[in-house]
Amino acid sequence: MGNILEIKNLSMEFKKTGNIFKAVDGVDFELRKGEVLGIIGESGSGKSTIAKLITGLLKATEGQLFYRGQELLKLKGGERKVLNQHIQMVFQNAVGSFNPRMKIGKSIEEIIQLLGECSKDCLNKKVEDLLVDVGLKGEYADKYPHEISGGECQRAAIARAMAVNPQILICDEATSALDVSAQARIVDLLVHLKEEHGLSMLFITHDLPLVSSLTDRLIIMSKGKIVESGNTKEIIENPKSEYTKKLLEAVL
Amino acid sequence: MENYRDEILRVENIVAGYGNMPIVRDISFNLKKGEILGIVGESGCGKSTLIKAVSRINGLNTDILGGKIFFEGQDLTKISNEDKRRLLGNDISMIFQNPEASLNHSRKIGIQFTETIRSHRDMSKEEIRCRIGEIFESIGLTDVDRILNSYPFELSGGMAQRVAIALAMVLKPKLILADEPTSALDTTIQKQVIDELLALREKFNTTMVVITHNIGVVSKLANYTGVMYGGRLVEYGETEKVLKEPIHPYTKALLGAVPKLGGELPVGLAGRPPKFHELKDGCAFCKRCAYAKEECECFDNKVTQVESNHRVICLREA
Ligand SMILES: Nc1ncnc2c1ncn2[C@@H]1O[C@H](COP(=O)(O)OP(=O)(O)OP(=O)(O)O)[C@@H](O)[C@H]1O
Ligand code: SF4
Ligand SMILES: [Mg+2]
Repeated sequence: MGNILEIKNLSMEFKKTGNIFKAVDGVDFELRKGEVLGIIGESGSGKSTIAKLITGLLKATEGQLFYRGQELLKLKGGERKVLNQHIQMVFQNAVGSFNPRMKIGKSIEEIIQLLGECSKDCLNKKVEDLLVDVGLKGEYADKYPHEISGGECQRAAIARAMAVNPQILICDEATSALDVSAQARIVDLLVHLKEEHGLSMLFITHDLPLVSSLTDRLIIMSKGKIVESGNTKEIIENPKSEYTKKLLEAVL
Repeated sequence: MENYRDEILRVENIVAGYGNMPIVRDISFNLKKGEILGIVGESGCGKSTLIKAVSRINGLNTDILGGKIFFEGQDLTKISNEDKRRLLGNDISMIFQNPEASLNHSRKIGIQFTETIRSHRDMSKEEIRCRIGEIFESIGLTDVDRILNSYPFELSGGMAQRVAIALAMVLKPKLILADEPTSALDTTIQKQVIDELLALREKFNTTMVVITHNIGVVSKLANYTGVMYGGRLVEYGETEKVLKEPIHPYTKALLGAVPKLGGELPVGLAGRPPKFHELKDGCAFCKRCAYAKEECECFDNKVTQVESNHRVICLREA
């Protein structure tokens, strides 16, 4: 398996009234093609910041990001935009990630149109296919985000992410707000999409039992740094760092 | 005779929804001071709607279509706007699924705390700062000054959620209604927040209704567990009983979807909860239930008392 994404010495500093706060502090890792890589760690440890750096929502203060060998941080706006479509993200707060005044279908259409012009009929058809693909009925296109439940909205968010045929899907606490059954089914959907479309996935969560069954490899973060990484099964069975041990003990 | 003196919240046959569409159907329970009720169920079973209905005071958009809700003997379904304002934040406070819903995104955290406290209590700047410091520390928020000086979007999701929880606890309310309070938190912090909620109960006898999909949270936190399906409380009882000896087929299936450390991928229930506008008479679970019989389709959803404090709505037990 080759690496689809390589991250070298990535750092992110936030300045706050004179103080510098290092949210991500010299992180190195790679995402292999077709794998599910889990990132786990306490809140504020920099997991979401890493996701935002990879998707270009934030600009790294230091480090390099290679997507299929191309250095993302050096790319100019237009080129970066094109590659950004290859890397899509789903968030925990799916409802908040949609424009509340726009119907679900319209939100997805806007993303499809990024790929180029498309007739109205073709748009409708694509939106319906995407919704059905994530287990929603086509009629959900006509609903507003607040009219559907959390689990349904997360499916819609995944449909929207899939609209641009991404190579990498980053799930930032994507199942955390869901009930266990919906979570199990979203995970099942993600595994299915991964296999169907050959996706590589970065799965960020605080749910250890879940990552233990879903991911191939695991990265454990604390205070902006990676404290342990490796094969998921090995880490769960034989954690090396004190921090990982503490995490495992806190599982309810 | 039952002793009602310690009773703080009494929900009687509540029916609530949006417009004329009932979501929550005929739900009853009562809680004494210091008791914690956990409510579980899939997305779209009406859990949030139930909590919105109980928190009438918040001006949230649910309509009560029937039943009564008593908070310390006062019927919340008939309460005046003035009383709502007095109760909210002071006696009853809410914690939502997302911190965005509890915090004002365009105001600094510190100001939000000061305003909340000042609108109900006469406290000096120093006292306020001290109270905030105490609460922050107890739920693992160390950087007090940086946080107070931040806007919500400058905090990580987990931090923002803990801030929202602190804001709900700062006035030491009698009743906390929480909708997925720990979903945004990692396991260690989640444990800390749960310990703090338990400590709050210990110290101030706070009563809580907590909605969560995390069975671990329920087992650690709640005295009673209610399982919701199709807007009804299909199983209700002591947490220990409901989780260890579930009776309702839905409860059993739900528990099977819980991921286990080092285990296989969990199995979700096939199908989905019924849409409320499609809901017909009979058991709402019958399309997904392994034990469904023809009679289930016209089951009258009668509550069966299995033991003194354990009840279910299922034809098999009726
Ligand atoms: N403001 C609203 N207007 C109309 N219908 C609504 C509204 N809010 C929720 N609903 C509908 O009410 C039903 C129950 O939703 P509710 O939010 O109570 O579910 P829930 O059990 O809290 O789900 P979740 O676990 O996803 O939060 C759903 O069918 C939903 O589409
Ligand atoms: S009433 Fe029938 S369908 Fe409903 S849960 Fe019981 S056995 Fe299953
Ligand atoms: Mg809800």
